[in-house]
Amino acid sequence: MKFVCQHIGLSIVIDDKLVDQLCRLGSDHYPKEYGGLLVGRYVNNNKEVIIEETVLPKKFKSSAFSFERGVEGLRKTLGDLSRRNPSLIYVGEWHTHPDGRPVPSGTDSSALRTIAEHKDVFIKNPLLLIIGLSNTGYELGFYVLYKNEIHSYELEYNQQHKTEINLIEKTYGGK
Amino acid sequence: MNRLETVADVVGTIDGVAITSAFVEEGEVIFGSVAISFLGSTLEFEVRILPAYPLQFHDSESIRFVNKGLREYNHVNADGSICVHTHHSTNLKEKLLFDFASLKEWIRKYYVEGERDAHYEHIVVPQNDSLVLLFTSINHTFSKGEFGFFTYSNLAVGFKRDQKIETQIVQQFKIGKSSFDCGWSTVYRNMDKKEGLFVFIEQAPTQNTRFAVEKWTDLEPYVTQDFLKFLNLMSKRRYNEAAVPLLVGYKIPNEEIHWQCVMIPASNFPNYAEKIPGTTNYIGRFADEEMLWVSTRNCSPKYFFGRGSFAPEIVSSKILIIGIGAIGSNVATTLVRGGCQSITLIDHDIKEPENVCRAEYSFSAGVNSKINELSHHLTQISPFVEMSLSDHFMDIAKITLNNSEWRQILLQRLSEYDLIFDCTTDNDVAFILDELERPLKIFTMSITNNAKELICAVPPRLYKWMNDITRQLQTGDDDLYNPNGCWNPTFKASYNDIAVLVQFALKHITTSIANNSSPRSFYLTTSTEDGFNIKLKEF
Amino acid sequence: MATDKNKHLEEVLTSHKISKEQALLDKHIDKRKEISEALQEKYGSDLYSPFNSGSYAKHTAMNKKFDIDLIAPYKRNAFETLEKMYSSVYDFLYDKYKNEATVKKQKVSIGLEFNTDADGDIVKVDVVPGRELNKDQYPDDNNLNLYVYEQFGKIDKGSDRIKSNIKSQIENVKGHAEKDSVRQIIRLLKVWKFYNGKKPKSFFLELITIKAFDKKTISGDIWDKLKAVMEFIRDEVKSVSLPDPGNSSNDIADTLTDSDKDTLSYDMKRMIERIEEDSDTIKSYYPINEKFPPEDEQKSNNSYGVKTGIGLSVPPVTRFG
Repeated sequence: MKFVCQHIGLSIVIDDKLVDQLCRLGSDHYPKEYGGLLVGRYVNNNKEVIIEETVLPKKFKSSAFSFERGVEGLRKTLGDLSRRNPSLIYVGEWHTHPDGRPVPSGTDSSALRTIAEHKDVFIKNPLLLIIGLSNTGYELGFYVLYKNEIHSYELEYNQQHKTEINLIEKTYGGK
Repeated sequence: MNRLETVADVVGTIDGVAITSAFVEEGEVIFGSVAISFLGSTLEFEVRILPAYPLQFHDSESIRFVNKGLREYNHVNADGSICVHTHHSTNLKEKLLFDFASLKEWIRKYYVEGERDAHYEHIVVPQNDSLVLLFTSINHTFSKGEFGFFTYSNLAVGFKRDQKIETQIVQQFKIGKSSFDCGWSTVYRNMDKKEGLFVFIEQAPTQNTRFAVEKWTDLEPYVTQDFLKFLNLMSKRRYNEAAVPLLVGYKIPNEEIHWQCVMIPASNFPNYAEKIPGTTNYIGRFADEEMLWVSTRNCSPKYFFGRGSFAPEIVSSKILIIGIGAIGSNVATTLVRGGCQSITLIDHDIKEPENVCRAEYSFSAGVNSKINELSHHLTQISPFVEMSLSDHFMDIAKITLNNSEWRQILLQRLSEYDLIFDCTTDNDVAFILDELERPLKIFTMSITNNAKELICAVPPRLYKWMNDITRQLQTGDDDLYNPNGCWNPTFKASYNDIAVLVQFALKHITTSIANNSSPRSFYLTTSTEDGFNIKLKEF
Repeated sequence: MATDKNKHLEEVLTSHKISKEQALLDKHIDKRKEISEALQEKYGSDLYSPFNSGSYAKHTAMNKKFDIDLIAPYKRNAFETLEKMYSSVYDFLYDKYKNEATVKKQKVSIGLEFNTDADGDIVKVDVVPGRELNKDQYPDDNNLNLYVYEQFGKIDKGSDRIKSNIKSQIENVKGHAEKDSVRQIIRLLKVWKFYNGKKPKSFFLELITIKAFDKKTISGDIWDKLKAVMEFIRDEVKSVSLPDPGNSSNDIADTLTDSDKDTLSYDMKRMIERIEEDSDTIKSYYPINEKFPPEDEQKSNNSYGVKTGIGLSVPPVTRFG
């Protein structure tokens, strides 16, 4: 899948299988929030990012309304990934919003700013993927912090979806 | 001078008015009689002046001029009191002069000149405040003498003044083997029913021109022997209720019919059979008994929405509303109150308590599916609106949009509507709607933060236009409502902030539809610099 | 944020340049050639040489919608009636192309919309059959009678004929003194018509633009000119007559009904108001073709940034809501 942010001219590529994996991980923790790191690589003169994998936190605290990701073990895992060929680096974060829309909360926005300003973070524009989960499906929202503003991405509309669901409409007739 | 003295004094000086029985005060009410000689006639009236006088009381004049002998004339109530159209005054003396002048005007117009108003007034039925039956139009032309059964349902129990009043709705007429449903919506038609009787007599059953007959014997000339035989048969049945309603139908002007209702005691039907002397035959008769009339109201759409409805082009439209949050639910209730009768709601969302403060939802319904609660609310408002609901139509639309076969079905389904309001603020929905062939009328409405603007986009390029304009209007403040433990930030605005814009927008949209002009995108912008102002920016 | 209206309109024109879609244009031209040859083979000497019309021939085309036309001029004796001519051409094209295109009867033409090809492109060609007015007269006056298939503004279906010297229509735009400005404005109005789903035929917009240049002194920068033409349409569309340069007894103004003209006048009024009030709105009326956006320096310089110094990014403990 490819997501584009028209406004700043940057894009994100992510494999369907990885999306499925993240959704499944999110569903496993439903109705609590869950999340992790996004790792990948910048291509095309740093105008596109390919998200390759997720790194899951060893420690985290979560509730239906919040998710706190720990750091234990991250340095080693990220170090290993950076030595791969091609090298994978930290590009952002993901977490779920059970029964909610994939829209960043105030906490999410400030978290992204904190990350970008942190001394141990060398990327300027961390991504944020929010997965809105419900019992019927999921909705993705990709965001980036660019020049201190949060920008959203949209799905490119030439994607083929294969899911089929019956079209059912019910009529209200009861008392 | 006290009140009583002033009345006697002023009335005594009015030209042509003689006090025939002196004014006295009993309790707070002043009584007296006068004879008025005017234009060659002399008429006597009892005068009753209520405590509130010269002020009005419960929307009517607090002075009564009564003469039972005048009941056959226009603008006379059942109790013989004259309806005078008079001026307002808070000064006792001035008010008396006004009211006697108005009484003389009534004498000239309706007694001397015998004027008949073109405006039809229903016949006067003795007031009974325990029961009212609501009826609506049905698809059948009744002919004189037709009779049979009708069914009705209990709608509600309320209070009128201090008395309990029951409201029932007429459901269906059965004539022989045919039955004809009243035009209520499915929800109402599905209510539990009881049975009553009806007869169509064509002419209003009156005495003194305008008053319903009061005794069963007086109804006799209006009905046939067949009907009396039918009634005789019915009198032998057992009934669960203490009384059986009999609807009496007749024609009124403009090809309309009206129903009055009289209650028949279940254990004491008012009819009997009388032997014809010298034969072995019997003839049906009515007994010399009082009739117990109850109230009826014509609730057909013409009257139900009579005080104000949208133009016929809108009322007759098949309407789809996608997204029924603060904006969509307001659109929906407004359309239903305006007479619209076919509405489909699409929303997958669940109503939470915090939705109530600015959308058409109630605390009492608790956590509830929005489509279910709103459709319940809408059918409570109007007995004519047919609702269709879907909670996942748009989800399917999004998933199947790229499958050409499904896409055809989807677009076909959407194009069955005449009018679509998209109030989802979901770009994907706007994108899908943009795909529809014209001349469908589609309006995508959204509101910017603090209800500073309302944006309404129409095809073509609905999706693009809406995004362009929204971006232009964005001021960059992300001061959204974002409470604890909630990742659903939403714009800040009250019911009042939103409703005033939605109503303005709907007024603009319905005006353009009624004028048959092609829909245009527009936005409304508000300012508070010089009082609250709304400006329309049409594209 | 104000928009530089002139800069924006220049960008609109650039992004809609037909040359940006050369490959697609070539496909259209090839297809038209093929149809032209098929018609010549089928009708032989009943047909004079088909030729091109439409905006491309007039240099007023834009790349969002190719109205590539093919005029098929028939001899007087080829058909008894115009209707027979129209149905014959329709039947022929339908049989020949039914498997690879949607063949539709249109106002005065037969529209062929070819199925999406391997590149995802759709080729559309309109074939306009016409018949010379009198035997052997066409080579002299270039006049043709057209069959009107459906109600067309004030012109009734079936009965009426538009006589038209299409060659002189083409020369009309090509030959105008201020042709560059005229073409620019025509192309902008076509962009507006295309994106906003408006009714007037391109030919109508061409003629009324030319009329505006003839009647008013139109000068200044590109926005001044566009605005002057829009004001002319707003004020004059209800009364103006637009004789067809191919045949002055045809009034092209009749291709719109009075109510269409009211709408067009109102469109212009609203558009001028909105743009004068807020220059940003010009973008929603005259959008840039997003397929060929102008090189936005700002945007093209954007990239995912990396801080100076090289290190392994390890994010801190972070709380999300």
